[in-house]
Amino acid sequence: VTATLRHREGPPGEPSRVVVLGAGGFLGRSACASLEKDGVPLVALGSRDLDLADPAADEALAGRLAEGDALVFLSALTPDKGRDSATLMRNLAMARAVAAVAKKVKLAHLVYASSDAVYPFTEDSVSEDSPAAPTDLYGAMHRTRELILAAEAPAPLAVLRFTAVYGPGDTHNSYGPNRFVRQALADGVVRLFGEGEETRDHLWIGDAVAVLRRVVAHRSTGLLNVASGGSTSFRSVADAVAALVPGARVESSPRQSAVTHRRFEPAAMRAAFPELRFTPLAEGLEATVAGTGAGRA
Amino acid sequence: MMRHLHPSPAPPARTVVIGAAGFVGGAVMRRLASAGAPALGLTRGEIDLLADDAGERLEALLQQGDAVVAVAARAPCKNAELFLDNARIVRGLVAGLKRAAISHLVNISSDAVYGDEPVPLSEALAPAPASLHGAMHLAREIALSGEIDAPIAHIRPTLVYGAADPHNGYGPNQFRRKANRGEPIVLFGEGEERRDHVAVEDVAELVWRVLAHRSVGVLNAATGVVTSFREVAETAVALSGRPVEIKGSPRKGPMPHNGYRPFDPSATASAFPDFRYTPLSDGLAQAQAAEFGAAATRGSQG
Repeated sequence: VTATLRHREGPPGEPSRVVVLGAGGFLGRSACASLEKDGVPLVALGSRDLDLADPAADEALAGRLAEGDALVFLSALTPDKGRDSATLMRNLAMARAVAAVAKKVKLAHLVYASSDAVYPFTEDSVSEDSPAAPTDLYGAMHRTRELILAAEAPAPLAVLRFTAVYGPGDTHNSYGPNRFVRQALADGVVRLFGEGEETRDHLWIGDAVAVLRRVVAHRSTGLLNVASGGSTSFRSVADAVAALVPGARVESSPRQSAVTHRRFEPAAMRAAFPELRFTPLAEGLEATVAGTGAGRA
Repeated sequence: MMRHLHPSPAPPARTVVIGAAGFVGGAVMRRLASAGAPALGLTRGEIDLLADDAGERLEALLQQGDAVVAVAARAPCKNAELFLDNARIVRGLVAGLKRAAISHLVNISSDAVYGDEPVPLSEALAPAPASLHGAMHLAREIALSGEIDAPIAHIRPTLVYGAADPHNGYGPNQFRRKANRGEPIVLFGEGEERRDHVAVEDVAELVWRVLAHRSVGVLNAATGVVTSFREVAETAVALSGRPVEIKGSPRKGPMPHNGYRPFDPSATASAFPDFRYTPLSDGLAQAQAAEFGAAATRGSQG
């Protein structure tokens, strides 16, 4: 993996077919909906269709793939599903299966959804040149998967390090916009850790899909951080959510852990996709409240 | 970057070395024996860490208050398959060590956890591994620290050499053997890249001191001196007393680590002020004597 994203020469064009692994997840469902809407031939595989962690998963997956497919690898057991070495093993088994299948079936493109968890929290802004020095098992897992795919999967590889994605349909309910919206709608109280001083980049699901779609259409290779370039405190996000839900309020709590920050340097994103405009947080939060509220009704 | 829970040495009642038959594990066992310290060495014969019941079996072998040195790994970790085996080993270690009330864990990691940095490598740097082997050791450190509720030290040795080395990789061990067999030594390029080489006995000595002080934190085992592979080869040839040719060869790729991977050893000095790393020439002479006995005194007639 080189530290920049390179597009295939010539104008963008959809691949003959896209196979999405992790199609049942938050990003997967939205990406598949977008591909379907545009009539891109699609095979959507979720964990119910195929257990990628199974030792024979590469055989099963090979049976679903055809030469020339673009394979989009979104599957991962996220920290909400487990933080231990057993989870690490299952996640790595998935990468082994994908690397093995890429040796059997000639893929036109392999897109891997990694995570900004490969970076430690720093005061400096994070770029694709920042050292990938993970500090937790989830980050180490993603870095390992990147290394496995780069070394063992003989396919043009794009590694996309996504920051936290928000929007209706989120399946993780991690601390941040998705949970805040659910809390505001459920019981009218958004609960912060400490005063919510930490700043993060929050990426709207539609923007995450837009980047993914462009990477597929350009058959891009290399490395890209996928983030909006903005950085907002959890307090500001919580206040904005509370303002959108009548009667909702924000509650702080005694701080248990150190305040950390994350901000991305957007130069590589701008260079790769100069025309892409990211959805302002206020707009995305409004749509999240509307979408989540509608889902509950 | 080490903190001593026992400022004055107080060796553990018993030390269990997991991976006692390996290169570093064997040296640790010898160091424990020379100190007269009670030790239990576990090898694949006693426990198969890849087995599903590894955790239970390990737990059954441990006693309350044991200090544990975890060396066992499938190294070098070169591909996904080996990474999964190593993750399985970690799972077994975690399962066994978590349930046993151990007093201290010393994990043998690797300097591969560090990427290439513009400054000499030290414990203060955030590990950004660029290889699967490094990612494996970093994941192992994180998993052990996160899941085991005992004081933990991670030792990160750089390139380790010694008479009993079983890997025979490019470097001092292979050069010494080739020289003593009278075979030419073929360098990558002109062998100009400079690396730090640490004697296995020094690694074992550091492990012993970490055990005795019940130290926690991270410590690199690296001397702070870098030596070119050509110079290592020349020393190996001189020690063998044989007329062996050292040949360069065209490089097939870029020099690993850009040809220069120095360490800052000040953390070793502050953790153990009276410890001295063995200079490479002395260490190579000791390895020569241990592995080939009187060969060096035969002179060049041989």
